[in-house]
Amino acid sequence: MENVRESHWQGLVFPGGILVLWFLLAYTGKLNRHTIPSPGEMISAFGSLCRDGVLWSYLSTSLWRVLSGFVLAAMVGVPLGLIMGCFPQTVIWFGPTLAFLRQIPPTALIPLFLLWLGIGEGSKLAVIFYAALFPIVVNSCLGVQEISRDYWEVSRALCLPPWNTLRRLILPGSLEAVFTGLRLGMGLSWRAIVAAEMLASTSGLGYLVMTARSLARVDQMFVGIAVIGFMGLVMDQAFLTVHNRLILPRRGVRHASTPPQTAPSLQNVS
Amino acid sequence: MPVPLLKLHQVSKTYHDGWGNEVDALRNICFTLEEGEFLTILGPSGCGKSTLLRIIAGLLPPSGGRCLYKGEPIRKPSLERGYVFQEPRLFPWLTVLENIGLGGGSAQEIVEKMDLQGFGEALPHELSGGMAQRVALARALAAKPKLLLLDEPLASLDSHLRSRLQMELRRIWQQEGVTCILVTHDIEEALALGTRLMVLSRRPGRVLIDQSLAAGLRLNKEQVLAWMEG
Repeated sequence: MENVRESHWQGLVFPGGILVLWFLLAYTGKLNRHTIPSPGEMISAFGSLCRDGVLWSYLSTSLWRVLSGFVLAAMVGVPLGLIMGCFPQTVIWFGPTLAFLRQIPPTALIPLFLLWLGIGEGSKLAVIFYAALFPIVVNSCLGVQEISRDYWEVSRALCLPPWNTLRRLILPGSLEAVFTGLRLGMGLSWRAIVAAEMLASTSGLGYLVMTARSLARVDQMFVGIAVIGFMGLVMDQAFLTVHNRLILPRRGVRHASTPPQTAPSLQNVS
Repeated sequence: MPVPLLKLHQVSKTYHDGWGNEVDALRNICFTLEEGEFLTILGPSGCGKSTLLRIIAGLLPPSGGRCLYKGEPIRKPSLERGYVFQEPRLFPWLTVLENIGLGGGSAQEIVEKMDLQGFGEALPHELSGGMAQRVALARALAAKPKLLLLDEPLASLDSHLRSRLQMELRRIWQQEGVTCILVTHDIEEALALGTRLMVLSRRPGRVLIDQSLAAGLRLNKEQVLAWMEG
């Protein structure tokens, strides 16, 4: 059995250095307070937003939107991807359309969704759904296609009925790829919802950042941006934890904060 | 006249390789197999031994000829014809017990018969090569096949493990009353296990020798090697 977990203290050096520099510049009075707040101002803005309940209210709104749209995308995307993986003819029919749609960033569709669905929750759900759908479909499809031919032959030799083939081969065999798709989909939908809230919303973390800009509250802008980044990281880590605890042990790997490899890659930074 | 368990008549197989060339894998294979026989098929690499076994299993259609199982044409795989691949091919996400239970039948019963107690909840990556191959054999036997097709299942094992599994195969054949076809490139293995020996030619595979190994008809390695080299 393989243990590929390593502690990457090096990853903390750069953000630590930026923090130290930030503190030093604030301490020596060399920061332009109109564009970058001091650490003290930011902590104070964070406290005030928490006390007012504004931060929690906007955070929960954004999280609720993302979860609703993401669950919808997963409910459609996973079965669609698995079907496409099982029946290669569907890839021939729908592959080019999917390839075209994948190239359009969700933010480019926000005006269209606003026109079709109005400024309410529908347009935001549509943006999240669209952002999460493609990575989920593509990875689920690849997950099935990457199941070894040897295992398909075993299932044929053992005359597995369709339900057992799905339960014993297709679902567990593609689980890792499906999970990667869900993880990517969650990340993309989080980014998309913040963009949608910046353009057309009266609540949410994106709205918080935009109103802070209008009010020239750079400290609140920084708090909003930091919370967006932090929450994205928390969600990604949650996915990674489930992946490490539930999926990898069934495949003979204990943990994988990064997959085993010789050279580091940005794709695997978590 | 009783119907033989298996009858192949003029079976051929042609396929296209990656460059679109037509490859003749098997040509005019004819033989019958009665219940209780242990047929070992020998032949040089690439002579179509595994292709022949896949055709009998129903995993591949023949390009020509007839392949009858109990007098009926073979059109698809059947649980009556168990298949053991060269590699164990256990589903890595299922436990030993779940893998064995894939083909139906009582997994627990076969675990006891194959002396795999204590390994039921293990995952394939926790097993040694020999143990994994025994589980693959158990998986094929769990469905109680009438005909067991063995596609070089011992090829990747070291000599000690191979001898142990050879004895196990012999025991299964004797105790379970299952008819066996073993494809191998190991002459000693073919002579030690089989009650009948078939030697295929180089590609396209044709039957060179089909010889009973019953008591009194002793063959030696050199003689078989001479047949194989034509």
